[in-house]
Amino acid sequence: MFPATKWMAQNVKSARVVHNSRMQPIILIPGSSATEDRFNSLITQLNHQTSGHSLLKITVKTNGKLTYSGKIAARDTEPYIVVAFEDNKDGYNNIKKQAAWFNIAFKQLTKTYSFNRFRGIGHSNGGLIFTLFLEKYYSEYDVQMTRLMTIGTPYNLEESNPNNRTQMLNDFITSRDKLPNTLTVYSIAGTENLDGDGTVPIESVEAGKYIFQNQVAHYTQITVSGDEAGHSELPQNRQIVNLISQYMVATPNQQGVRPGQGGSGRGVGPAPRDGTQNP
Amino acid sequence: MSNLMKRLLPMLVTNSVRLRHNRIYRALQQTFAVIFPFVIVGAWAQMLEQSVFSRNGFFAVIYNLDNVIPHYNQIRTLLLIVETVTINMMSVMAAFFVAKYMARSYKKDDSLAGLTSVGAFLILNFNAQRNAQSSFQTNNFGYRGLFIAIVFGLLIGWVFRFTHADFEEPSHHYTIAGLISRGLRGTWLTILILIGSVAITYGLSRVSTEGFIGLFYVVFQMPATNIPHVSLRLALVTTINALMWWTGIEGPINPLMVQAGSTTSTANLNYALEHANLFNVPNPITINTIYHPFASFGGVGMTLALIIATLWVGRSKPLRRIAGLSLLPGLVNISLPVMIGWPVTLNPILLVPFLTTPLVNMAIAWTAIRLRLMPPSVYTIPTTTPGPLAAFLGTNGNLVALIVAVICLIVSVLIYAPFIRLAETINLESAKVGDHHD
Repeated sequence: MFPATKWMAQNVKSARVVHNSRMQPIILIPGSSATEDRFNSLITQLNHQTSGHSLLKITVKTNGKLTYSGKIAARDTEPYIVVAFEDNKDGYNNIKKQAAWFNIAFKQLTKTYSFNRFRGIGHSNGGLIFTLFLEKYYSEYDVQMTRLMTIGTPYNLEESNPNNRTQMLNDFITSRDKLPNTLTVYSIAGTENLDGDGTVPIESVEAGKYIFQNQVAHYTQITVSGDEAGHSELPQNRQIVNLISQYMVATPNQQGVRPGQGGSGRGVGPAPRDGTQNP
Repeated sequence: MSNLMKRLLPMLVTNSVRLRHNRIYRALQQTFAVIFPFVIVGAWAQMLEQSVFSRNGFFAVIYNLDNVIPHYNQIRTLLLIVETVTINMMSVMAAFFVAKYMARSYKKDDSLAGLTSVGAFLILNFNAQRNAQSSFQTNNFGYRGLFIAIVFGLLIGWVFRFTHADFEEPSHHYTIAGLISRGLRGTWLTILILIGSVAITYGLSRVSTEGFIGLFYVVFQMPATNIPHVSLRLALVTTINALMWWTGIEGPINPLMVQAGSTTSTANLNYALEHANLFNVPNPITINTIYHPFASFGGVGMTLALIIATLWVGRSKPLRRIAGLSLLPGLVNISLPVMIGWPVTLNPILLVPFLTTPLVNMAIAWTAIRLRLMPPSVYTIPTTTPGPLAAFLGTNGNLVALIVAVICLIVSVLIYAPFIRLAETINLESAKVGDHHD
């Protein structure tokens, strides 16, 4: 009787996911010292390649309050949602705080938009925040994260020797069994020179394998070199934009979506331009 | 109650003794006895095939058996072959034996009658549709066509009384030519019967594409559309369906068939998937919320309760043995062994509990849902889910639903039990009386 109950619960859960799968947002978290506008040029480029999706930007204040800009178009099934933090400083302690703030924003998002699946893109420390969120908060939700792409994420912080594991990497590895085994992870490393992208050592990005490999469904590591492979250029790198539209955007040309009014003329929502909304 | 029984019993005994001397009754009893071994073998094969070797079988989905058992599909094919030549040929066998025993009761050539009956049965199930895949409507060869096989078998056996083809004990002094010429004596009748069957089939094909079964189903659909109140309609529809099963016609409501998503159950499911709260589904009372999960354990008519009750109160050894053999198939809702073995089919004593237990169970489930003690069960479950678990799983693990299901099972066993005692008493008494007569 017990295995039957377990099977039934699983069955109902996945039926529910399929049933409510109309919206599957892509949530983006920028790295340290970056604001909610960090991905503007990335999304402009993405919307240029595809018929486009709308963009919602959220900043979580240090007191847990949320401020919004942009909005999700009515029929958009795959909007971009950027979650940034007022306090966007580096360091493991700040990352822990930021993961807790992200959890606040995420709770509000699932409540407002009642989606059951989402995909995530994290640049630099944003990937660490996603990892921490998955290990610490994700199990509270009846929501499935299907894909995660981290771009230049330093899983071992600035440490280039994989044998010197930082406290953070150790913590990640200890709780890795909390990571969903249905998740597909892409970790993208930029290499400007042979050591890394100029900011993050390549070994630190590669340390992600100790966390994800043999735990999530698929873990793929991709190394991008050439022009614009510096750490802060990665989100605009044309190779990476291609990878994102290929791996992360499920419906690049959503049927029935018309260019929105007052937007860029492409896509459902206003495709932001770099700088236009910067404070 | 016991006073009433004391007065009723002699009457019942006299009637059933009279029944036992009836040729029709005897021919049926003998036929069921002959085909029962095939039914048991087929039902066990079906049980394995449907619950273990089908990808959506109960045990298959829970334990992922299609990845665990080697040669999964090959084993399934073998089981399907066994099913095809046993339970899915049941009516052809019945057509033969009913006519045979009927003709023998008139001391006529029983083999010729049997074969003629098989021929007539095949003609009656000839596929009249153009471009049909198979020459015969083979799905009528199973329990579905049993009633037609019995009726025409009896009729043909009876008609043979008018021939001169007398039954002769095989003797050692025969010539082959003599044997063959003896076989010719009933030929004119055989030809007439076959021509008559062709005429009937042709006539039927003008009105119904599915033969007699199609006609029965038309009759079935009439009450369903005219009664406005949902609970009454459910009661009537399921009772007519049970009556059809009792008669030997596979009714349209079959617990083993995957329920095509009706509009009401789809609405329920959509609501449940969106809100996760089953109590407020739009259609709390439907055939899928009160009949299937609570009133059809072991098949139509709660035959699982009959099996359990027989094992509990039954004293007759053969009956207990039949019930024992039927228990496992009954657990996954395959009712044929008990329908043919007990037998339930065309058994006047069991008709009463066969029709009333599902009604009582539906009333219990209806009350529990109306009092909001348990949510309606809306999730789709494998058809081979053991009856008492159906509601529990269909509500995604609601304990009250499980308790209500267990109560339903207990109540059903209690309803069946006195009828089993009654049937056994009548059997004993009429056997005594019968001995005196013979």
